[in-house]
Amino acid sequence: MFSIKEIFKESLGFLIFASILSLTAGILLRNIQDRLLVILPLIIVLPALNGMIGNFGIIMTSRITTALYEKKVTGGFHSRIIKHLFREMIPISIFSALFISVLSILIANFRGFDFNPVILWKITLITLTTTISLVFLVFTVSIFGSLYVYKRRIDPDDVLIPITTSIADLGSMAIFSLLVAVLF
Amino acid sequence: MKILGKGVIDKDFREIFSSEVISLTGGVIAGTFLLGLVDKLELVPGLFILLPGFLEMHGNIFGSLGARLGTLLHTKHIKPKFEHNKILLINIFASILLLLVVSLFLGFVAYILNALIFDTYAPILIYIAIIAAIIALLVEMPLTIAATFWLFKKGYDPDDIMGPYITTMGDIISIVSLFIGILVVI
Repeated sequence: MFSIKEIFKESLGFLIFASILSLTAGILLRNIQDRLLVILPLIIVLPALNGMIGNFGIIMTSRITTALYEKKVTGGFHSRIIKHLFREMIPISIFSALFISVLSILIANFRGFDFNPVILWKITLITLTTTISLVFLVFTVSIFGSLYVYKRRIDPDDVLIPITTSIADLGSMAIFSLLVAVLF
Repeated sequence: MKILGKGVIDKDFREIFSSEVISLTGGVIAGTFLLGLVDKLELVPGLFILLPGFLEMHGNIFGSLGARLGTLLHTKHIKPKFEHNKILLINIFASILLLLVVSLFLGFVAYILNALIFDTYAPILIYIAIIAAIIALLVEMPLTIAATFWLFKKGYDPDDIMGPYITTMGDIISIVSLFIGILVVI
């Protein structure tokens, strides 16, 4: 983080990798485009769902990185600070999934979409399944990745944030697309 | 308060939770804007291919910038104010360079994929990606730096808040920028 060349060199490869994963997620979305255009809450929930899991990746990585620089991570995966972070993220992720489901239905309803309890149930199922499975995955990658990268004297913020957000991006869109295809 | 049998509701939990609620609300607002973009899908075939990458790019680049600034603030390499600081300028220019290179890459590959997989040729995707990235940059960069400094000065940990803040702000600004980009190019 102390020279343009260093930041560019550390970040570009991972950003390109992240972009390729996101473009793959884009292809998945293109495939369910017709369903998305009919079920309005699905369009509304999309950026929130996509961003939410990416947020968790950024929070976890930046918290672990700062703890590493401050020499507070002792004992790796079993470190107290990491266990505490995991216990924080689980209830927040469940609440978040429920929150965006209800909010997207309400907004869609204002935009003329007929309210239907079955749609609410299906959208909640989609967001909950996507969120919980991805939180576990992103958390694991954040911890192991940060510890590995930090040992190699590379800033985990530069490397792990693009990787975790891309895993979240592709993973969430893959599970989302699959569930939309199955349930709608 | 105890969750999962352990006391977890502390300052960090409250910061993450409240910023996440704001972020999710912003995300849903971005989704509502996205409904407006849907009408342009016929004019810009392949927009859905570009969309996740374009949204994600902002989170990645400005998320990393916010996290780096957070670490630099914690380690006292920079002060939380706009001043001529070499390390701050380095981080700003590196982020600008990365944004331009990655948006060009995204637009070009989205064009190629759209042509190869869906047999639709839309070079407009490349122009839209670059123009929208520049529009978003002008708004998002100052907001990211100002917010990181402000949070740090107020005693909050930017690491807890900047992620949700940047991705939400990025989603809304990106979708509006894409919308403006489409209007400019078409």
